[in-house]
Amino acid sequence: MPLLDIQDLHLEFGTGADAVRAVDGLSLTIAEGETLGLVGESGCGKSVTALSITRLVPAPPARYTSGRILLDGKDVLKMEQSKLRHIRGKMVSYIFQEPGSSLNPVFRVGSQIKESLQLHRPEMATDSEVIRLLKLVGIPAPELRIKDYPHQMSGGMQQRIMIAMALASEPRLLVADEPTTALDVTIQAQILDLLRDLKQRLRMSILLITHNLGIVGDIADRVAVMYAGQVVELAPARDLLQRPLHPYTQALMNSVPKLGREAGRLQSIPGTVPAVGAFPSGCRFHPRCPKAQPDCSKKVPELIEVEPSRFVRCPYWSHGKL
Amino acid sequence: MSLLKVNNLKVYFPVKHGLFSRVKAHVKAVDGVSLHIEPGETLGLVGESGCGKTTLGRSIIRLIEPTSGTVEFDGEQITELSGGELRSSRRKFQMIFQDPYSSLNPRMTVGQIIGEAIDIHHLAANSVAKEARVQELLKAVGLDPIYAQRYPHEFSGGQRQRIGIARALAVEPKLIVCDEPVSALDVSVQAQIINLLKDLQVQKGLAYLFIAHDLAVVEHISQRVMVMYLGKVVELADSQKVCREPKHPYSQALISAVPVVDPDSKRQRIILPGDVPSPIDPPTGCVFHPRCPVAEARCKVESPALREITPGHWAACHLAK
Amino acid sequence: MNEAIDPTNNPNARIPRTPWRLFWDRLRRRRLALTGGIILVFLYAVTLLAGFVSPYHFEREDRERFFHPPIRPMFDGFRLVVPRFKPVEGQLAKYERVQGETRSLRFFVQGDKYKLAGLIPCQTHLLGTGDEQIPVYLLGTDQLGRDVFSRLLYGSQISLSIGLIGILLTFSMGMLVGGISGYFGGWADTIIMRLCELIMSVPGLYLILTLRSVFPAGMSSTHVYLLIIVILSFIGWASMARVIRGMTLSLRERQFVLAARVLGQTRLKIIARHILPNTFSYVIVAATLSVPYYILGEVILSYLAVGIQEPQASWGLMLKDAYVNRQNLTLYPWLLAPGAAIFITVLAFNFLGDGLRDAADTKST
Repeated sequence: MPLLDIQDLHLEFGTGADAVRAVDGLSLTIAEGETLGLVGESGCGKSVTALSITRLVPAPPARYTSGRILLDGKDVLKMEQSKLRHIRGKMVSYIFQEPGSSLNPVFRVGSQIKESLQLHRPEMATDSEVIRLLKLVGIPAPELRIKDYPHQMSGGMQQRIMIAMALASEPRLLVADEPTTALDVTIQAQILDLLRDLKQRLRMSILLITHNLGIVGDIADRVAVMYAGQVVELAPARDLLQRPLHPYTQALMNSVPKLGREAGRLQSIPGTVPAVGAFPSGCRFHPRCPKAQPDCSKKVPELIEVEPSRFVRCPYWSHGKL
Repeated sequence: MSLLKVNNLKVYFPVKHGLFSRVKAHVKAVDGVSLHIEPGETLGLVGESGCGKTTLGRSIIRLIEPTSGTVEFDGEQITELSGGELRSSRRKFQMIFQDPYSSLNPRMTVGQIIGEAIDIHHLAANSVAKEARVQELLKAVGLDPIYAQRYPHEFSGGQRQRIGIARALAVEPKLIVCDEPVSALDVSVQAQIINLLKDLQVQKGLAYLFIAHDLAVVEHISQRVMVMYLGKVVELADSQKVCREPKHPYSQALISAVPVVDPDSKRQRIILPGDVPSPIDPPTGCVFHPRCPVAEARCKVESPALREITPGHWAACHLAK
Repeated sequence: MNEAIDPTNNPNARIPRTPWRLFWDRLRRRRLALTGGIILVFLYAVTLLAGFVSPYHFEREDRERFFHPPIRPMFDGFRLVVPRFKPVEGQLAKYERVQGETRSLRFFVQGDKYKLAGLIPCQTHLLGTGDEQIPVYLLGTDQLGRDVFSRLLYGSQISLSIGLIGILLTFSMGMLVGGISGYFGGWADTIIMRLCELIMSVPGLYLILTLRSVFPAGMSSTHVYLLIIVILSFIGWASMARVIRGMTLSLRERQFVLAARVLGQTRLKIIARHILPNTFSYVIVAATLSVPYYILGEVILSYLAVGIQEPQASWGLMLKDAYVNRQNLTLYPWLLAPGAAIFITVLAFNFLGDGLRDAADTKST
């Protein structure tokens, strides 16, 4: 049994005629100890999906119209509030894009980590445990840094603190929502290195959300590519990056310049990313798709397994050349 | 003759403390940078946040007053112009901004935004000519001319960035400073803007100072690349040379840190320890030495000069060969 | 090249929606704000036509009927009639109904002379009896036998306009000074801001009284009216200027302002075209929410007998007359009508202001 099993999730905002569907029939699994990369652009529904795992999306305005989110076999969508609190921050921890705004500026970082410990592992709420966590996330001289306020730390250090807080409860699933987007390249490399290291040492599952395919290749076991509220491709990371099958994945990979490659003209994807509520009919990618066929605007394609453990939502999928 | 020549430019910001605002220290945001850009050329400028790349870009066009140094543009000393002269000279160098959501006035229509640029420099004889020019510019950046009537909030990030480019083009500049023009855009839209900038460069013979933190994008669009660290230039060469055989240890680390899509890449990853130090109190000697994997004793005391290691390849490192 | 042109199928997308239009769309959905707005439109319309709507002139004294309770017209068959009252012999300010004697209430009757909207000489009134012996005092009379309802309407001319003119003065001054202070910075900014702090640090009421005492006591009502506006605006502009300065400071760093600088736009045009228009939505909200302070300011000044003078009417002055002693209030409660008017006006302004604030917040729906 996978640790997380999302089945056919439908999430809408608003009611009646104004309702817009942000997530449409999403299914995902994450096994124990596995890292899943969830890739997509703004408005594709990747962040609300992540928040849905512990029902953190405020409802209303959000509404789960169908589907199940099984966490360790129990449906989160049917859970009572008191049970949810036990899951949030305990079984599932989050780290977000802006470490600066996720930390409370008026408390020392040590006491913020300790608070997290008190909540989930009260018997371990000691300075030595805080220091152990800070060491775990690679903060030099942790004995001195526990007295620091968040503003005294750099963005990279703040993100390490956030990770330490997330690890305080010994979660089974760590959800990292664009954890390095706000950071510089060299600091991003440090944080990714840390996540890779933690993944191996702690054997926890990670859901890594990003818009950068390069980051996914670094750390994920499997990758799900989302576009306009749907998963369009799901595959082992290596296979997906070497041979993307869906036209969107292919176009996305061809549109980013690669370091050290010959500078030809970039293959750009025409048009703009559709906004939530303005998703096109049929296949959502068809207005921008270089391989679109006449029936793509009418028929909604299914996510089908085209090769062992490779899923694609496109009847015209092909082995693209890169 | 070079279009733009920057010589030993310094921008220091005073750090004020206390009741009487005494100047306690200086942030050396840009510390003695020299560069030149040829007509129609793109110079890429990379570095991490706080390295002074944005300040350098802004001080070259005097959005920020340089502390010392000279900027010569098209034979004219920009640094010596008075307010009025500077305003009329601004026609020749323009800027494209990072955040497409804050770079357009939400209370003006697209036509008014582009038209303002035309008005300031009296580039249209009458309102009919102005309108025609606005439409022409919108077409040039790949937007439907009927969009002139609309307000910025109706556009996506990529479309807004196109409007910002049209505004810059309206005054027919020779140089455009592009400050992270694609980093706020969706990945699938970035290539559109990069291609547009390249097309416009060919059509209009524009020169770009292209500032970005994404090395791959900079390599793609630039002929030459300059790497900055803590207000100083650490490496300057043709873009392929910088990206394939970087000489400075910082450039080497920067390039190795770029995540690659190819899972079979055999690149060795150099992970730099620590953070960029504060520019208020930069390290002695070579500013990079506390994080440098190959630093020697003399790096702590002796500040390395930018020297030509191989023809056309400059680096500021004692050990570079 | 044309890869960004996206064929929009949505017909609504063809019509450009201005920022004001979006603002209005959001405001329309707020019932309470709209109610407040409608009440205010009604109040100001009545104020403009005070002479016509009020049955009597505000100075008209009925020596036989002081402290007369409100007279309510009633139905006699299908006619609206006004009953006749006469004083009770030997008792002060006690009136009894004279049975059987009524006058029908008529519309558009000729009566006291007045100037419509302050300009057109006129003597037609919306309603009245046309008979001096059978008057219609909808809200009773005061100690001099003047019609409270008529005085309330005339008084609203002063009370309601003070708010509007005061806000106009305060905000234009605050925006100009704040805009300059914030955009130019440096010494000008320091001096202006210290001045603002000085004004704001003096308790408002004392400042009002001090300023008022500088001027002679026996000024004409028009002069006093203008003086009140000037005094209240003088106190109000400082806080406005500070807020506008703060907004200017943040707007100055916005990239569209930088873009205008790069284009070579002059500084005054940058302030006028790019900075101040972007403070408008805040300013409108703040203005709406601070009108009540001007109305109450006049009330306080008049209440302390340094505001509008008799025989002119203002809500503050009327309240002051009502509070001569506590007994008056229990015996003649209708004299508190201006209090109710103030309450309704202030509430309406606050409802509208709250709604405007929500609508100005672009994140709201």
